[in-house]
Amino acid sequence: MSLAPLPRADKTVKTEKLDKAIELLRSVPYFAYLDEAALRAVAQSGTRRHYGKGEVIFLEGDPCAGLYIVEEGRVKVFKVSRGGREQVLKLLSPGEFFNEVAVLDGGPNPVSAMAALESILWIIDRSTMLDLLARYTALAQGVIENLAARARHLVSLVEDLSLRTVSARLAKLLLSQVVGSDEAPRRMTQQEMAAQLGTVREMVGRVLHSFEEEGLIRFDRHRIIILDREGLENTAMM
Amino acid sequence: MSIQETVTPEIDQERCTGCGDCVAACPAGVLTLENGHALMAHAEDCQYCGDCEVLCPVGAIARPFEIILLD
Repeated sequence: MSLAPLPRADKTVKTEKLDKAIELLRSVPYFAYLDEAALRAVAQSGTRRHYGKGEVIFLEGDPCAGLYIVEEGRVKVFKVSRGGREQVLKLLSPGEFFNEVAVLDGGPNPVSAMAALESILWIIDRSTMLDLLARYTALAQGVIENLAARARHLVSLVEDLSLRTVSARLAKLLLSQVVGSDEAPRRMTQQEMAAQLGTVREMVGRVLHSFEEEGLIRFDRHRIIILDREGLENTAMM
Repeated sequence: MSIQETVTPEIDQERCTGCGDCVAACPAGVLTLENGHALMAHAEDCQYCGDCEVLCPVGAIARPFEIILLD
């Protein structure tokens, strides 16, 4: 893998390039509430850089390189596994941006980026971003709203993923705990089920409730009656 | 044939703080406080609804479940 390129910034931004930059900035949700003058100021603080095809833009784990916006070309955002295998996460086109989270917390780049085609990128580094945030409250508003929406989406995704794994494993557990009519009663509390599945009682309660709604089981006081064994087996397989 | 025992929620006496929330919450009024802990007073009226279990702030109440197949 080639080393990151030496800086080759073109700081003298001519008017038409500035106008182009302003249009690009409008596509970034962070800048949604900035007026023309503020956008102009942001564009002027940015750095416009050219990358050749195949050139590395920044590497995962390196100190935050800044917020990048693609003006022209294509950028490949990827991770490299410990075994050296490259996993492409996204291919970015003109008007798209990346590395926008690292620039806010100053943490290391979460991914690597490389110019898949000859590209022109706009960069707003962290110190510039902090300076802009101090100057324009509308920028803070845009950033906060974007992060809040992101947090909302991720929480929902985690809940969904977590619910799905618990469903499969709980279905399997229920099937394994079936007591035969000739056997001594064997009972489990929802807490015990949760402990076995590595989750919390509330999650077990929720999943059992959804099983009941789906007609897979029925509650009869202290008994959980499996109504649809095949259905539960299918759930256990997912 | 053995006598059908009434299965009721288990109240962990060591965890129970005697707050009385479960007693107040129980729709069938089968719980009571005694010696600073919650107790099942009328097992036969318990509907196993689970309100006490969900409500207990320290998780001292747990309903045991038997899993059976519909035949």
